[in-house]
Formats: sequence, C-alpha cells, structure tokens
Amino acid sequence: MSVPSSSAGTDDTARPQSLAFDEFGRVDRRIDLAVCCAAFLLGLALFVLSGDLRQGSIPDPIGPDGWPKLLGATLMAVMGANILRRLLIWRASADNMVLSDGGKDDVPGRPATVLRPAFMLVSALVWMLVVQWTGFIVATTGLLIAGMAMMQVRSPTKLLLIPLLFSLTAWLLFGVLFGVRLPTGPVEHGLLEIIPGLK
Amino acid sequence: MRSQGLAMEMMLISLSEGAMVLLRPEVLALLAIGVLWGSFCGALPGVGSAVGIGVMVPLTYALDPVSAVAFLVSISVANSFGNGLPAAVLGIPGGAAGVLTAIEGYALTRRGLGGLAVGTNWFACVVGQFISIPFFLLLVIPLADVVFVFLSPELTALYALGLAALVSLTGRNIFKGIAAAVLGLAIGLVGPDPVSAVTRFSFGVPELRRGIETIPAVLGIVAVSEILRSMRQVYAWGEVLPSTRMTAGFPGFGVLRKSMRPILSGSLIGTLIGAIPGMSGSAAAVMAYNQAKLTSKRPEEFGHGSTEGLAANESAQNAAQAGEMIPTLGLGIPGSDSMVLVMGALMLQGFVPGPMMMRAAPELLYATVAGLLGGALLLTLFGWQVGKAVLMFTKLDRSVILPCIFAVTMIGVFAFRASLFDVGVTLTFGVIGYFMLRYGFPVVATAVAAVLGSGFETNLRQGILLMDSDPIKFLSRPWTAGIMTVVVLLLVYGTYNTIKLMRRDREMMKLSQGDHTAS
Repeated sequence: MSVPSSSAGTDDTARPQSLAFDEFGRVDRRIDLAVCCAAFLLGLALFVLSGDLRQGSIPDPIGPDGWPKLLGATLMAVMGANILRRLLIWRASADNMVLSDGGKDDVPGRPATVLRPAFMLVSALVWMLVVQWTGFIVATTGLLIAGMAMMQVRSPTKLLLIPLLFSLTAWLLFGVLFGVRLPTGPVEHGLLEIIPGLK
Repeated sequence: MRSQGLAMEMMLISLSEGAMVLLRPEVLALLAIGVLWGSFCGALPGVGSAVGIGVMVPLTYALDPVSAVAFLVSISVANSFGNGLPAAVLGIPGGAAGVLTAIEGYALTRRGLGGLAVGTNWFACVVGQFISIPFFLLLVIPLADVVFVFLSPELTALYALGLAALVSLTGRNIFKGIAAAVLGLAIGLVGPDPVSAVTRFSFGVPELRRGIETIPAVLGIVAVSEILRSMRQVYAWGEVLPSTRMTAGFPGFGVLRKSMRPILSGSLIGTLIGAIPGMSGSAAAVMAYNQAKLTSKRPEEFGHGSTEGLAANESAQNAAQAGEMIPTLGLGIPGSDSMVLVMGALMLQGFVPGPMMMRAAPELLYATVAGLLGGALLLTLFGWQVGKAVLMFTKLDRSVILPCIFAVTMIGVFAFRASLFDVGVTLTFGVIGYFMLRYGFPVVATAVAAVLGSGFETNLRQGILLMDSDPIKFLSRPWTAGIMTVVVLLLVYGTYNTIKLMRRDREMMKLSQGDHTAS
C-alpha cells in the first residue's frame, strides 16, 4: 500500500506531518505504545510508592495506601491490556502507521509545529521566574509580546499596544477591583502614586 | 394530601412574594448589575462565583437584607451562564463545571455552529433556571428534612453515581478512557490523607503537602492543553470555520424541542444533587450529561457537538444554584463556597445562621426567589446579546486571541490563591493534557474525575469508620443501597453502550482512513 507524499501547504486534504502522525491522521504505533508504557509505569510507581505510606493515628480498613494502590493497579491493568492488544495485532499491519484512538487532529493544509506551544510554555516559565522582580504589568506585557510574535504577528502597533493595554486592564481588574495580591514592580508603584484613589 | 396542599400553597405564596420584591425598581437595577457581573466573572477562567460574590459582599452591608440576598443570588445564577460562554466559543471553561460544555459547545463552534452552541447554552440556562424555581420551592422543606439522613455513606454513593458517568466519557478507546479517569482520581491523592492527615506523595515539596488544588489542575488539563494544541498552527478562524456568522442564530424549534427532555431531567437532577451539602454543580452536570447520553436516540453525537449533552449539562449546573439554597436556607448549612459568602452577608445583616433562620425570617425565602426569578428573567432579556458578544471573539485575530487567553488563564489561576505554584500546576497539567489530546486519552474524563475523586475517597473512608468498619452496615443503609444499585446498573448499561459506540466509531474511522490511503 503506497502512501502519497505529503503536500502540506495548499492541499486541503493532506494533514500536516508530525513525528507521530501521518498526513492521514494515523499514529505511529511505536510512539503510541511508548506513551502507554509510560502510563503503565506511572501506575506501577503509584502502587509501589503507596507501600511507603504509614498508617495514621486513626486506623481505618482502607488506610492511606488503599485507594492509591487500587488506582495504581487499575492503571497498570488497563494500560497492560492496551499494550497487549497492540502487541497481539502487531503483525496485522504492514507498516507502523495505525488507526489513531481519536487524538485531536491539526487543521489540514496548514503547517504545524510543536515549537510554538513549547516556546509559549517556556515564556510562561520565564514569566513565573521574573514576575516577582519586574512586577505584573512588565512581565505580562513581555509574555504577550513573545506569544504574539511567535504566532507571527508582525504589526508593531498590535505587538506593543495590545499587550500593554491587556496588562494594564488585567492589573486594574484583578489587582485593584478583585483585590488580588499581584506582584508589584516600578510600574505598579508609579501608577498607584499617579492615579488618585487607587492606593 | 394535606401536606401536598400546604407545600403548593407555600410555593404560590413564595412566588407571589418574590415577584412583589421584583417590582421594586432598586431591586431590579441591582439584579441587572448582578447578572452582568456574574456573567463576566463566570466567563473568566479561575474566577467563578465565589470571587464574584466575595467582591460584592462588603457592598451589601449598605443594602436591606432582601435586596442583598436577591443581588447575591443573581450573581450566582448568572455565573453559571457565564461559565459556559468561553467554554462553548473558545473551548476554555470558566470553571470545573464548564468542562462538558467545552467539549460539546466548542465542537459545534469548530463546525461553524457557534451560534447554535451559544444559543443552546443560553436556552438551557434560562429554562433550567425557570424549571428549578418551583422544584426548589416544593422541595425546600421536605429536602431540608431528608438531607439530615445524608451522611458519608449516602454521599459516597452519590459520588459513585457521578464517577459512574465517566464510562460515557471514555472516548474511542475504553482502556485509555479509564486510564485518563484514574489520572484524574490520582490528583486528589497528593496532600493530607482525609482521615489520618498523613501526607501523601509530597516528595518533600512543601507546597505539595497541602495538596493539588482542583481548579488549577482542571484548567490546565482542559484549557491550557487546548490552547497549546491550537498554537501548533497559524491561521485565521475565518479560513477554517465554514462561517463565523452565527449560522444557526437562535436555535430553531426542532433544536429546542430536542433539548427539552435533557433540560427537564437536568433541572431535576441539578436541584436534587445541588441540595446535598458537599455535592457540587459539577457533579450534578456530569450525572445529567450521562443520563442524557444513555437515553438519547443519538448517543454517537456526544463528545462531538451534541446539543442534548450541552443542554443537560448547562441546565443541571443552573438548577444546582437553586438546589444549593435548600440546605443554606433550610438548615443553615451552606451548600457551596459561594453560599458560605451569602451566609456571611446575612450575618453582616444580623441574621443567625441555623435551621430556624428561614422560619424566623421568611422574607429571606422571598428574596431568594426574587434573585432566582429576576436573574432568570434578566438572562432571558439580555443573555443572548451577551452570548453574541462573546461569539465575536471568533472574528478577531486568532494569533492575538490565543496568547491573551493563555495569559488570562494563568492570571485567573494566580488570582485563586495568589500562588505561583498553582500556575506551575496549571502549566504542568497543560503539558500532560496536550499529550493526552494527541494520543487519544480523553481529558474530560480526567477533569471530571479530578473534581469528584477526593470527595469520593473522603466520604468512603469516613463512612466506613462511621459504620464501625462494617461494609454490610455501610451498604445496607436504604438511600445508599438504592443509589448504589443505580450505580451498578448505570455501569453495566453504560459500558455496553460505550463499547457499542466505540466499535461503530472505529468502523467508520477505518472506512474513512481507508479511503484516504487507497486514493
């Protein structure tokens, strides 16, 4: 069975290729199997680590370890069954691409990359690290500029104005109106001095 | 017969007195503000009715008790409606209860039927609210007596009923579905043990000793994962949606008719479940959704944009608002965190919470009716316009909206406890949810299990202790036995149904993917 070459870009029927999925939405069974094995190991870890839990001063029949052990065992059982199912029908497929289990598909005909969500995630981590030093408004503005630039927004007006307006509005809404203790920096201090009634 | 007559008389008196309260212009104005504010708070991820009500409680000190209660209740009513709007339009639930709306409503929006999603959401909220009011009035006295009977064994059974609904949410692979549910249940394992307070799975991290908060985890699993997945590609919504106009506009008569049965059952389930202290609107919504799926003529649509599922979910959530008032007013036991704040407002007014509160001050009941009725009327008048405004988001630049929604979610989570750790939890579960979405593990099962899991374990273990560690004594309590029988039947029937749908779904997938590879 030949698989046509991908033409992600203008062909609406072809899906963007990724490491695990082909242009027809089928999944690489090796990667799917690896994910199931990871889940199985998570169940095993849950089961084993539960054994270290000590009984408290109020003994009950289930105990602090009963429910975690049951969950760990259930996870191992279902993932074990899924792995077995995958292995039993291994030879039935000529290549490694098999029917996916309904994972969300990308939109056909548009290039997709995991680098964009990864970059957004890293930006969020940087936000968490710096927000206590720079203050909420500066950190959030930076986060949005990075996010929008990564999403290919190139207009300088959009790139600077929208993040700034958003951050100011969010600060007023959450920090002032809702009374949330948002991290303060020089910009927040300045605004509190300048705008009467905010303090 | 006589007691039925008295209950009917009380219902009519309360309705008429509540309507009289609404005739006061200042009350109507307050309710309008409450509805707009509640919708706005409900739409913001991580904010919810507790914050919405909490911000307004100090302001109610200047009001009379009737206006204060009506105002706060209207915020709660509108919050449920607001919760569903970003869920339906953007796939971002405003809170835990909006998870199923995010699944069904957003699936409709992705097909260019955003108007249908928002319209069904609005219709179910409004009708569910109107239906729940007479239920509330008829049941407030009898249910307040029955609730005394509901101890930990009965609550365990109710949680089990909610967890049984997970069998309908397992998606195309039942093994992965159960694994996803187990992951959700495991979230509740971190932190202090509910009986002995022994710290579990903290790995020496001080923040984990308190446990993982449900809201940040659920928002990560459902909302952040979807945002990250959406960021894989750059395009305008108009390029992929058949139309960003509201192609369905206001739902047609056929859709309304189809939605009435799930709305009726959802409203009843929401009122009954919401009346039990400790049970949330989320639990009621899951049960109503499951019940709608099991009795639907088109169960294969569930999970892919079912208006029946959406209607059941939303009506149950809204009806639970009225249900929560039953223990709050009837027993003086707040039914939820937002009801705690309502009780706080009543204490500011000089009322003493307790079983005699409503008997001593029946005007509180009339104020509640005014808040529920007025909130529903005002939502009827301008809820659709609010929904249409939210739908305008799909006309905006997606490349700008996605980072903004990501930021709002992070800020909303931070606002919850002013904790960066919670933001970290959200991001971590966002990554986990991203991979779950890609490899066919249903995130909705994880989210629902996370909401119900710790309540189930807590009540199970406390219930067993209460029954002197005797499982027979535990299970033979009448309400427990009755509910657990329903649980077993649901599990059996639900599993059979799910496997049947799964097989049909896989056959269709094989055919469609076979067409692609053959060409």
